[in-house]
Amino acid sequence: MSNFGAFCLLLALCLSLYGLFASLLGAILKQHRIVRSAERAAIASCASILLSLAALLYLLATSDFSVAHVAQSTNRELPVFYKLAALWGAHDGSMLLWVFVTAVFSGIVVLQNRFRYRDMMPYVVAVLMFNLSFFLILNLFLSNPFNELVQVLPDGTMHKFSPQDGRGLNPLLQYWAMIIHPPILYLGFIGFVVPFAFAIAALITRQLGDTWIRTTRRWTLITWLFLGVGLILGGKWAYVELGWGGYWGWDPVENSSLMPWLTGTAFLHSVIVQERKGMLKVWNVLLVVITYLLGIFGTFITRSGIINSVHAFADSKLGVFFLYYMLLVLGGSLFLIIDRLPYLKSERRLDSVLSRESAFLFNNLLLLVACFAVLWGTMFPVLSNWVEGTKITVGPPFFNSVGIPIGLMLLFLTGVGPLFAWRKTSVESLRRAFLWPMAPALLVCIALLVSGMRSFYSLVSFTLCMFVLVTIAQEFWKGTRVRVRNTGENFALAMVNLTLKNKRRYGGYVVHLSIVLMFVGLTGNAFNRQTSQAMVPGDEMQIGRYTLKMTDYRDGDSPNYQYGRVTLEVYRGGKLIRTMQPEKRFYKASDGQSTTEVALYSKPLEDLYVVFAGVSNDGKRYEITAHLNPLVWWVWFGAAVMVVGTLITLLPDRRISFATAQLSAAEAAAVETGVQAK
Amino acid sequence: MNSKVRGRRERRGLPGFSGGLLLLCFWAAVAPAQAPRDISREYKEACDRLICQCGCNEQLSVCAMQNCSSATPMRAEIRERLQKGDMVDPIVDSFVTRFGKKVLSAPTTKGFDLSAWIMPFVILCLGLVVVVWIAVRMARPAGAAVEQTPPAVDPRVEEELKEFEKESGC
Repeated sequence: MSNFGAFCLLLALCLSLYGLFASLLGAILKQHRIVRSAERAAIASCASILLSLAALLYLLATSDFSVAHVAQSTNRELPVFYKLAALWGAHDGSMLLWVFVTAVFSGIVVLQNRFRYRDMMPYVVAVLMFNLSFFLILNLFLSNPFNELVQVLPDGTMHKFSPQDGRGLNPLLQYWAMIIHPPILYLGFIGFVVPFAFAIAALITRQLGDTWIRTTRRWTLITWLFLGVGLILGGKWAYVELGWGGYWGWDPVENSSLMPWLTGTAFLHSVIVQERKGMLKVWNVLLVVITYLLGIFGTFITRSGIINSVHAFADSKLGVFFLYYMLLVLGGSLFLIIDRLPYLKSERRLDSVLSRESAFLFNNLLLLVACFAVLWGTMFPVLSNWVEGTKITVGPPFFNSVGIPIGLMLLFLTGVGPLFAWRKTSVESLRRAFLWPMAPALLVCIALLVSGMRSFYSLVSFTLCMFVLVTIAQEFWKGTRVRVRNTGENFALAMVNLTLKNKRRYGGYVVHLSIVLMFVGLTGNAFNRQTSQAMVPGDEMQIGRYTLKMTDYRDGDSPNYQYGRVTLEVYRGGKLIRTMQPEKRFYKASDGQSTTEVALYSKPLEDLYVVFAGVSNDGKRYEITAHLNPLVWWVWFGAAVMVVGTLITLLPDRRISFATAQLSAAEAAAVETGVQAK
Repeated sequence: MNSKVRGRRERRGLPGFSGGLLLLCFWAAVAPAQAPRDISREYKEACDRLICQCGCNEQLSVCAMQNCSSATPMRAEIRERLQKGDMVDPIVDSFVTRFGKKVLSAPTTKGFDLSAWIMPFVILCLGLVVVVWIAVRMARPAGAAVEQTPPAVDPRVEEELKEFEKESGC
């Protein structure tokens, strides 16, 4: 089966290389049939990689430890779904997943555009196949997941070797979110190859109008959503599984996922200006290239070993290839952009600096600066090593100090943006527009000051959250009121129909709302509390309003791990509200590596987060750490709202006509009612 | 005249000041014996500023490895020194002397490290200048006719804008 899997990968490489050259040849010779054969090769390549993936999953499920990847990342007692998830538990398997997702995306693009954009498609296919071929070459020749274990005997001969049991999956990865987190993140990273391919094709064919933007908008949004959800799932995993009480540690690999998300967000905003005004064309192409490259950069960081990270696979063989690939892509893209500058001229000019177009420009600037700050902080240890010969650490204190002011400025713009009109805004209308959101925001600020809050950033954050919240509410209110007046619909129905009629605008506002909610959660960090105590049954510890009373300790055994479990009763105001059972697990495989299983009592106001850190050195007491983390719940809730908002903007256009049809009927009814009343 | 008055006032103030100082010394001597100093905030600050040296590359406050060979003694030392009355800065400095700058969780504000802190804001300022320049340069000169826009695109955008404005009631 391992030979079959490797053969399928080799076949896929041949097909993708054929697809690359045939599509270019077809475009140059203007031979439609050659281009079609290239497209079929792309689909066949996808099918071949699917077979290869199925082969590896089979090897994992059947615990064939003669295959190095299976032996390194699973063991016999591992539950089946974790065995399958071990596909991306080690470097070579995760590369196969990457290749598979790339191939699937390429296949979907080819199928979607069989009869469209025929001038562009050969180049789109060429870029996609170039990208796929690069990863296939790495996967086949430098990190092949089908490599078999061999034993070298004293006489120098080599024999196949199959150990009795595998080393097991990293225990930290044995958590439900980890089953879906990497694939979702990969969907986010890899998806940006599609807008990139269309951008390059548009540059080559000099079709730099709205076509490539409109074609890839949906792809960009879906990809951006996957990346966002992947980031949040990673945060949830860190929160529940790592046991340090936080969800974002500014780890280099976390940072490398955040960077394309930030530039992707910038692109989603600036693209609106190009669609509406025909402006920022160079900027948009550049943003797509940067976003795609940042996705590759994330893989480079994870797989090059250049920076220490809990996520890194640290296989230094691959780093240099990624570096060359990124330089090649950057150089080629910049050459094309410079060469096509005359075709990238703005169709219009700004009517005024005080306009929504300018707000978008500032929004893009801040997002790019945020991305730069993250990149700078992530790479600074490497720079420092080059310049001073010392590899320093750049951790959360740096990122928080630099990121918080930029984040707050972005939050401010989230609120201000919709207050600006397209083209031109007069100072008077701005003053009127600011009045309503500013009043409640200032009230919140004063209330927080009076209640004793003195943290500057927290005050600013909560004030801005209220400001943006009212701005969004105001937008919905205005639109709905007009609709109620025009159609006679009740308020709720009018709001739903308003949103459906202009999904992109109001879906966008829902996403903005989600950002506000997440900021509320992030601001709660400033008020985190933590206490630790070595306890025996009967002991109590106090944190905030809660009293934790230890009642029991038990050891246990499961096929996969041994565990120690502490039982704690939680009292609030003298009343028992919950029993919590934090655990410490020791995995039998994985060299006895331990994990903490956090006990969590999560409410919108605060999370009570209890960790059983271990048994004291004398073996008589149990180390308990309790965290009180205010408002964390809003981070997860905000993420859910973000998904809803993005899905609204992604709703198919057919719904528009449906909504319009409904509106027409309602309008007719309203008119009729009006006539009868008269 | 004025200096005399001031002199008197100063002389009058001196016994009060000495008394206060004495009281403060008395409190400083007695207070620690009465109640142990609450070091939780300083302890967290010190642990946040230092990196565990076991190879996990996490802050001391984050490393969750049980009986970690690096974090456990470092934390114990911090706690002990804080309880003895040491301040956070000297404690952190002593770790830097022992392990070098790599033990810090953030760059210092000296030498090349300073560039880590200022570069994002330099880029922000440069970006602001560029954006303002672009906005001003791209802005239509005052009094220029709005009809400069390509007629093929204009009606469509106009229509959409009107629809937008109508909906939102702007």
